[in-house]
Amino acid sequence: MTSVSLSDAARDWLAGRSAEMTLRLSARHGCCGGQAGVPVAEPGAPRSKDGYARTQIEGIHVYVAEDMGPGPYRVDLEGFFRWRRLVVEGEMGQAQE
Amino acid sequence: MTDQKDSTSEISAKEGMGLFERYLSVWVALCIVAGVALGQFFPAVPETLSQWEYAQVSIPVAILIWAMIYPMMVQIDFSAILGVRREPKGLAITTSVNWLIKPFTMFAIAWFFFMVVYAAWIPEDLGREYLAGAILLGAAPCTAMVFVWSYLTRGDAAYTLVQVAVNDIILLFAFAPIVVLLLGISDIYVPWDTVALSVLLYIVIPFAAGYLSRIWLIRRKGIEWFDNVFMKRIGPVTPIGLLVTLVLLFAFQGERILANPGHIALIAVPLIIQTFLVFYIAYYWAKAWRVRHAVAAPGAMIGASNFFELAVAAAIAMFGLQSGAALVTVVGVLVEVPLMLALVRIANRTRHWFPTNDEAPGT
Repeated sequence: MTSVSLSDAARDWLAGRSAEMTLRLSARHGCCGGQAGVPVAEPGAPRSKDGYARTQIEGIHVYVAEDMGPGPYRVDLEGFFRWRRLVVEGEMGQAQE
Repeated sequence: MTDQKDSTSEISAKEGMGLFERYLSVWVALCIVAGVALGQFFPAVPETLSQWEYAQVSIPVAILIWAMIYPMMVQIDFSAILGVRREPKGLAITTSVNWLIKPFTMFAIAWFFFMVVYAAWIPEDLGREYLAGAILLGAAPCTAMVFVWSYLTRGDAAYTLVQVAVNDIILLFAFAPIVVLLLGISDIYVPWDTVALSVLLYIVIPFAAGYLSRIWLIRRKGIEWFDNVFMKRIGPVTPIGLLVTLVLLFAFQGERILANPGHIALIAVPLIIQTFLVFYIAYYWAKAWRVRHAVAAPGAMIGASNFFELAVAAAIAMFGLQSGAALVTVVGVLVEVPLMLALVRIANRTRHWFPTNDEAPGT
């Protein structure tokens, strides 16, 4: 079970949208080969819910990719005005081949 | 909440790197042999390829270089720049080391070795060409492998994303002036229009193409498709493009390598010293400022590692495939992975030097 927490700012921002969030690993490729999975969070549900576990955290429906480690991951909000994004604090994972 | 690993556990190189990348030095060495053999036994191949030029730009080389650089540019998430206020100490250290220290220590170390220590073995003109290659390496900090190094040292993902975005934006504006300044100090004359053309071809165009196509593809197909399908297909193109470029480059470098086989080892020495020096400057600075290890380790790795594809591209564009400058940038690739894995081990063994995540908020 992946441990996920939301900051107040992230929770309020998501609540004002669809009250859904996707948490997954985004593969980053190295220029000399190799890759790492960077944890990322996006508002909304994934297009296909296969491979995701659904949970509810503080009123937000969170879809967590099954290849994520146990965490802990903390999702925060950064940016200003209309330029805002979710940011995930936590360790990288091994991207799926 | 429970922590996923205890503080002393390590991620092995096998977990973050496959067979190909762990033995990159072996493949690079094989490409050197294959390239030299191609140039010696089938000289018509490089001769024919060198004739495919437009505006003095080799079309095969340009295609290979774009194949190397574009996949790295398209995966940069510039929206991460919004997190620039996160980890201010870590960002200050890495940005200062990358742009105010690293290019100049590279220049000083390379000048000392190529112009003074090796004066008896390397002619002055060739020494200057080698110096030019070292300058190009020093002005191009890592933009992609740092994710792998960060993973292997259990680095902070959010910080690594921000630092890469910051570096790439600075790279756009700082690479050419730093290179021109240091080449000028070294009495190596490269016309401004040659520098401008190389920056346009191998930084601005891939950068713009990567940024615009990323936005277009994500809007059209979604971010998950972009990460899980598009990047999976295009990501491996970079190392393949790199190796094919090396074969081509060494097809042109054959005479030089056969005449001076020991030069590769001589060139490696200042590059290795620079890598350790830059790592330790950033790492000890982070220790002095009590930056947490998850930021200090990837921060030091970014400076120590290089954006080789860009350095190779710029060396070829400014000095040619046969140049000593191009050879130096390739030696950088040759020593990269073993050196960086050594630094990963050092970083993991000195984790206790740094405060934990809970002890060092706001670093």
